[in-house]
Amino acid sequence: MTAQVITAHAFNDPDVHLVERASDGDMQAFQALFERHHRRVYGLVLRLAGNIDVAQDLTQEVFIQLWSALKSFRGESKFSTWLHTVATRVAISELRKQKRWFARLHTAGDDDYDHHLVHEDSADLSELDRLIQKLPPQTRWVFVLHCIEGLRHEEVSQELGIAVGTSKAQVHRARTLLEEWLSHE
Amino acid sequence: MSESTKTNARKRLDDLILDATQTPERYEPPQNLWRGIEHGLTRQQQRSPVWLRYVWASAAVMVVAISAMTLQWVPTQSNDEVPEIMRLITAVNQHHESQRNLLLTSIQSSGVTAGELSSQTELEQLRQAAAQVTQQLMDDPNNQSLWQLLQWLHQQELELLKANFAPRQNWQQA
Repeated sequence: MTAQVITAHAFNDPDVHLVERASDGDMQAFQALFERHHRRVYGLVLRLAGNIDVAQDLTQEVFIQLWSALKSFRGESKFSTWLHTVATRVAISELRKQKRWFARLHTAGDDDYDHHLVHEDSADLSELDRLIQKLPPQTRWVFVLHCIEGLRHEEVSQELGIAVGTSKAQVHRARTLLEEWLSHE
Repeated sequence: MSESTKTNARKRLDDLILDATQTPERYEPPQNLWRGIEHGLTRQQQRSPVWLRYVWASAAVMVVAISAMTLQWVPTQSNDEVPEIMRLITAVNQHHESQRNLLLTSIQSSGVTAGELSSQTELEQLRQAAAQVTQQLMDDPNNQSLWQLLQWLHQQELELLKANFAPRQNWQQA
């Protein structure tokens, strides 16, 4: 039994057998992992992206990249925790690419990009998620990762490549904006 | 905004955040995403290695063939021509480096680090091949095929970088 399996069993990780099979190329096992975890991933990237279509694309991209990355999973944490980190990194990386691509095509600023992302199906979202959509991208990412996903400021700063102080300031900004919008509703 | 309104809004926000953290699986994607993932994985497995194999096989064949050709030829340039040729080769390589740096700056500013580039090994191989061709050009500056090969290698490197950088396609529509 490998060190990976021993460690994963130590976490009592319910995904460990599926992960082993999927990393050996078993597509059915990978599909089972997708069925277990895609809602959580979709919820995370939906909040980060602020747009349903983009969130669906990102969810697919996360699982496509996950397939190749499975062999690097060492079982040092639960699979679901590791997947969450992978999803965050893929989503942020893709969103940055898209934002830059959009800016090149339209020579537009943040406001135009945010407007481009607004989706008419936002009525299906919770009150908080509708308001989160209105936050500027980096403010939204920090708020989602820190306040909803529970990452520490140090972790947020590492994931987003920003200073810890910037992370704290962005959370403050997000809360101020959200409280203001809530007070007007 | 009055203090009580602020307090109410703060409490309301805390409640909404608590609700969000307790329901991480609240949302279901409107479309079936698995089909697109399966399709993407199948296409990735089929296409990428073939494309890369083609590029590297072509590069390897060209490098070997031209190496063999140039080894048989005696250098014909006079000593006076050498500095001129070296300047030209240096200029061509510098021009390529500036194009590559421009592209890398764009990539890095979009948040992609060098470690995230999926074709790092292939990029290294291309650069090594370009360095070898440059060396051969020093000995045989009138060899048109070598110049074309150098240009082709430079072009492939930029294309590979762009392929890493371009936004991915919309899998859900596949």
